Amino acid sequence: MSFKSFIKIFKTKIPLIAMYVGIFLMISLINTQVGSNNKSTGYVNENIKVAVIDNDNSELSKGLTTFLKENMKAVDIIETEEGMEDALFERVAEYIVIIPKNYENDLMAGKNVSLESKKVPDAYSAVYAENLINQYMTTYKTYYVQYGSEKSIGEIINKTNDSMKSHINVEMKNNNKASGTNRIENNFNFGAYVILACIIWGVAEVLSTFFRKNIADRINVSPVSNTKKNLSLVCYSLFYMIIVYFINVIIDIAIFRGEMFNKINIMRLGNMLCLAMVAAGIGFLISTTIKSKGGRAAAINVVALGFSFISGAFVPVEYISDGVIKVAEFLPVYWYIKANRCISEMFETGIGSNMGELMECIGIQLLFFLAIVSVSMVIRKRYTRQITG
Amino acid sequence: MFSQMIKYRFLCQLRSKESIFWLLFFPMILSVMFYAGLRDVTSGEKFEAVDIAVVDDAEFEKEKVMASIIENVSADNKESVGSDKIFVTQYVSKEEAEKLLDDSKVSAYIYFNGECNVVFKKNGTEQTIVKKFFDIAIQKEKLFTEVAKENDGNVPQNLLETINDSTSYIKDVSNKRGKADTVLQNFYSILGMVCMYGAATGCIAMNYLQTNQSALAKRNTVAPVSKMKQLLSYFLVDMLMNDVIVLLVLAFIRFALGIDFGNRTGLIIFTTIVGGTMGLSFGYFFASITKKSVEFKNNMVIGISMICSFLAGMMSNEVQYFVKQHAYIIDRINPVNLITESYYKLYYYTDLSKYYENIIILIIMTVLFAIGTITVLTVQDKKMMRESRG
Repeated sequence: MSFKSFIKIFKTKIPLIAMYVGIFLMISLINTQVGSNNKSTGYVNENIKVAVIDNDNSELSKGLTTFLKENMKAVDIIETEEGMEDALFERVAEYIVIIPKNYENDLMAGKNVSLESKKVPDAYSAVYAENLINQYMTTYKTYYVQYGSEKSIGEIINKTNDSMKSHINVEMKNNNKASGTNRIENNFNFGAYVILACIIWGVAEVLSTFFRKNIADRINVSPVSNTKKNLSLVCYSLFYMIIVYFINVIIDIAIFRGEMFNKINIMRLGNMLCLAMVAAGIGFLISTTIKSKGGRAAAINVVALGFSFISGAFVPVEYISDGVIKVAEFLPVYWYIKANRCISEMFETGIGSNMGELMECIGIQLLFFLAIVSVSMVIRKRYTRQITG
Repeated sequence: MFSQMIKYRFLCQLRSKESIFWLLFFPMILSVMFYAGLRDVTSGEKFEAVDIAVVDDAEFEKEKVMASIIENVSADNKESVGSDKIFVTQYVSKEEAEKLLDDSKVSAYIYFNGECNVVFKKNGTEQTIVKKFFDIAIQKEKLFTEVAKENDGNVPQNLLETINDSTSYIKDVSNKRGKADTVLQNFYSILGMVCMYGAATGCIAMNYLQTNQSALAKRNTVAPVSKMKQLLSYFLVDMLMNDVIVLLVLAFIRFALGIDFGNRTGLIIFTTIVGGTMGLSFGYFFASITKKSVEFKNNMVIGISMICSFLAGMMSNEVQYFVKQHAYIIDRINPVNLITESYYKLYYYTDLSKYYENIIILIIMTVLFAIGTITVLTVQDKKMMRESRG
């Protein structure tokens, strides 16, 4: 069971591994591109996703459209009835404003005319968007009543826009800005799934070859201690883990370029390395305990997808119920996500502020790794004893 | 003879208990985990009053208008929050406000120094609400002051009415048919994924049918039964088993987890059967065109299923919409998406034209994969025969 034999097996699996790792990295890339998980908790002016459908094309409708796009996150949607419903259902847009034809003329003529809206029911985003639109329209109408006879509509709109520029002064404690950090944090959170899926699957695939009965029997009769054999397997798992981890790191650097080279993101990479180690341990455990290929594939999916879901890799932890979080605390992914959150907070409150909590999260992940590897080794030992009598 | 083949394939399938176990229980375990992780997601969008502190000092005493605005939208505690209240406000000294913010007891505190200022500790939805509310309040105050200035210190009645007009300029034309619960999509996509996992069954079946794959396949080839009959018997039994498994998963998600599928039960079951059959058919076809080992094929179809599920919005709904917007062809040929979207159309829409479009595409894909499998098998067998004759 030398390193040479591991490399030999590894080489035969390279096409499959490349295909599998490639698929998951592609998923990760698309996820970053789409900017998913934007159900972020970030305070940014434009964080409510609004779509404006302007059927009027008047000065007023253009002014309102520009104002809304400046004050919220404008999204493009498919402008059909179905496209709008889909956009709301999938939260691509949280609020849709439809400006009807002849809106400006009808409004000025005193007709009873309204903007139309489609929204996510009971959501705070809709309450906010409506307040903003009503305020804009009130300001416009007030100026129109005041200056209607002496100023053009364009001038009134400019005046309205100027008035709407008044904002409260915002102070962030610790004076840090969080621009860009959400996107990277989301990428790293989603990365938990990619790391788990790629590493667990790869380790289980390669190590299971060593556990095939005829090969395992030959290994068992060799004059090498069990501990040494098992440690070799752990080292091989870590070897594979390092390869996948660095591929991930390279891709992250390619996506985020210079942004990756700061203390915060280097800490995130360190955190990811801990999770990758745990993933290698889980791969070792699965290859030891589940013999059938179908069973392994299913178990890997349950672990990678399931753990990621309940630990907050896809959905912010704030949206997960306390009961589920209590369960998730027994999973390594939860501590990885928590560490990521700590690191993001450090971005806002200064490095060192959360160091104790971060170290706790990292430490727990490493303990998970040691525990999983120890359990796997005990199982291997029992199995070897059974067959050698 | 055909019935014998059906019987033995059926027995064969029933005895592969491990495969059945994983095909059945894997999606169930996964859906329970999804359920645990997602059931509170939409409640996070609901509006809740935000805790704030206002620094009650000499400067605040001067701010009559702002003080009245804050008071109008504030409750003293969470219990007394009504529909017209946005904040739960505490009036405290600056030091106390700092401490409340440090201890995360409030999301923000407001203080005045001739201007209105807000202090946040971190970023968040609640902070956004605070900021936006005070922006609007300041804008209203400014508008009032400006109009008064233009009219020699008085605001004419018609302008006062316009400024204070509480009529909304917006009419809600939202669809009121169903609850737009975004997490449903995730569960629908699990079913889509399970349908696609049937492809793994197809790969295993082809391992027994394709001459160049296994010793058993060679024996089957030389048996005095046409390959088409063998293929048909395998496919029918696998289809039955696969569809039963997917239907059981559907029943589990619907009844055990209580996920809403709407009330078009017949069409929901039909969609599940069409989806399951399509996944199986894909597996047969994929296995027939690849000469690699069955484990390679299995891993490939699982990988393909995962990417299809991802593009169908299993991990993030935005991905599904992004694909629809920017890669419409992929949206139309991704089987997991077609299945997921079909459930969603049945749940949410009264007009089912898009649903029928999805089902027709799925049926066309099933037929094309079946024709492809038959063609590839026939060509391969003819080639083998020619080679064996010398």
